[in-house]
Amino acid sequence: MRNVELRNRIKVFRAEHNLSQSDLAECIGVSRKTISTIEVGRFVPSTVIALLIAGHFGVPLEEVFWIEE
Amino acid sequence: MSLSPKRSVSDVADGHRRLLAYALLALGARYVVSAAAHFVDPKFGSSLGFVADGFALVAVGFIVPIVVWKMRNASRADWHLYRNQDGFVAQTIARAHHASWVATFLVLVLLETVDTLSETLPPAILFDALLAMMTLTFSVVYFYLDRSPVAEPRS
Repeated sequence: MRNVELRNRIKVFRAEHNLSQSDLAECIGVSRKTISTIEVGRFVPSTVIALLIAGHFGVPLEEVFWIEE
Repeated sequence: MSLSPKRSVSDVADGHRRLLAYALLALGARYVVSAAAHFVDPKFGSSLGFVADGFALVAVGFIVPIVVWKMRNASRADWHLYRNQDGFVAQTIARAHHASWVATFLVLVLLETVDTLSETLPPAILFDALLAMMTLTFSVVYFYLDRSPVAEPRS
């Protein structure tokens, strides 16, 4: 696999929806630490979590997550 | 670690995973002390035995909240969230287990290859040392990967 990094716009979407990390975590069914580590790029989420996050904000997956070389 | 009702089930599950890591750290300390007790003066060794028992009690103390929570919470939805392995802490635990397994395997291969090591040391010391290495490798890797909170303040 090529050397790529997963980036995300979760923080922006959270701000737009006025959601804290805890709120989003509870809606998705994961812990707050999981959301916070995804946000800063320390943890690469599973496809299920990524889809749940995008689905929660009502946008396509690639609007929340993208990869950078 | 408080189990306030405001915490989500996923946060409770992460908290319990951390308690498990603390329990393994305490067990690691227990086995280190226990192995060290074999090399010191018997009088001091028996005192170290009490210290080792203390660490074992601490380990049990970390496990108790997990058991109590499990006994109190039987809802199917809660269990589904509780057992979810997709989160950061669950993945970190899995990586620490992996590192611990590899380290233990390598040491066992070394012991099996270098007969003099396993023949000179009594089995009791070997077992204590191996268990200490296994649990402490897990703890070091886990706490390294789970270091530094990066979360925003609780709302």
